[in-house]
Amino acid sequence: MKAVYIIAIALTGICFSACKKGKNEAGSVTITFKEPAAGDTIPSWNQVHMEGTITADGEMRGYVVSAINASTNVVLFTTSYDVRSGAYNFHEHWINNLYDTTVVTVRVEALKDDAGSREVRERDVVCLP
Amino acid sequence: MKQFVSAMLLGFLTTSAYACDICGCAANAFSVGMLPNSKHHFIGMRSTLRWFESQPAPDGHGYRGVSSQFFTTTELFGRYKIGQRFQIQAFIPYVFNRKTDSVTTTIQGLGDVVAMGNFVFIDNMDSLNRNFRHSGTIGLGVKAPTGTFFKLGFEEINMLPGTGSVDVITNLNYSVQYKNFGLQNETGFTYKTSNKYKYRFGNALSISQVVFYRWDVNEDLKIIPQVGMNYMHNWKDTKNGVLSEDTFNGGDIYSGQVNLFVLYRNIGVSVQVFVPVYQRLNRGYVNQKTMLRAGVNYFFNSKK
Repeated sequence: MKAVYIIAIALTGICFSACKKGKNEAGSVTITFKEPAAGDTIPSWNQVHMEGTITADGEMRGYVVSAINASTNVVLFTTSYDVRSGAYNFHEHWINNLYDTTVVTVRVEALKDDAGSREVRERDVVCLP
Repeated sequence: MKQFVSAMLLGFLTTSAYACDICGCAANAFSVGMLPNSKHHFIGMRSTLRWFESQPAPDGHGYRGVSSQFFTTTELFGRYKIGQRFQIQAFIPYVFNRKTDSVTTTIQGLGDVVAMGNFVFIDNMDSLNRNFRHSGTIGLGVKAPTGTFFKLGFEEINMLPGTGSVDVITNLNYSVQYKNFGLQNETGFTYKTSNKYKYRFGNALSISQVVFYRWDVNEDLKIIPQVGMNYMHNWKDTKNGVLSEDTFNGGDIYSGQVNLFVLYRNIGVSVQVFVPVYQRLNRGYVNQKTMLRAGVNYFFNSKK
């Protein structure tokens, strides 16, 4: 009987902790760009700097930084970090190797929870040929 | 007292080496310098100052002109001897880093604590009837991520006191002495791992070779001048598994070194100066101007 009580208490604890699992997940996320500035013009073969911070009120599951051709949605650059933390510094570079004047969207996505919720922030820059 | 000083002095000729994660510096591996391999425990304190000048990144990103960097690490350290063959060592660093360009940035705090175990594979330095006397240890240690390695909005991670990684440190120290002259070699290698943010500082290698002369001024006072060369190599850092081009780590540096060790009874004082002879750090954008180290140890008598 004693063993049954112990198992019951243990199972209750497991259920309780499982219910609380989402408590450490991030609810509110703030993404701040240091670079690039909106509308920046990037000469050919110069680097696009993607730099800034991500903060949250809980533990995020990682983040993704991408550079996307705004006209075609072709992903020119992307990198993802599978890192659990309440804050990140992001800092990536991509070299403008385009042959036409192109609006490129720099996109930063913070992964808020295991279910895949995301906070997204974007900046557009103009890449020159 | 004479035996004590002699034994300590002769043992003084074997050193330890490990890679320091002062990070930020282009070459973040260096030898500790001379440490006594005597029959005694000790506790000590030492400071290491490294002075760098860095050119701005070639893409002009964050351009603020040429910067001067002064990286200082002050360590409380000690060694406890276990039997005749084993030693344990611990290093508790406090880091004070300053970078000056158009603005001055200062970072300070507890660094990464290091614990090491050494095995004494040879030590006949106290066999005064031998022409050639040898001393050697091989060590294995670990560096714990006790120092701050993240600061929101601060991208110069090489200035932060810690690396955030658990690193494995190995070292091999050997010295041979003939009469009052001797040769000493220290080789240290640090295998580094990724930190929480998927940043991995490059592995580090340090090799020192010096010649020395032991001057027995009197029964209590011994002086050992040394001169030699030091080579350091840092592998490139990786970020999220790929080579990082944002870093100011990586490269080679050859330095001439001059050391002076003074032992008076139970107290040892050391001063070391490293002057670069050739270097190529971060593709030439970083220059180490000099490195200085000074320390003091107090030795305890050991019954074993």
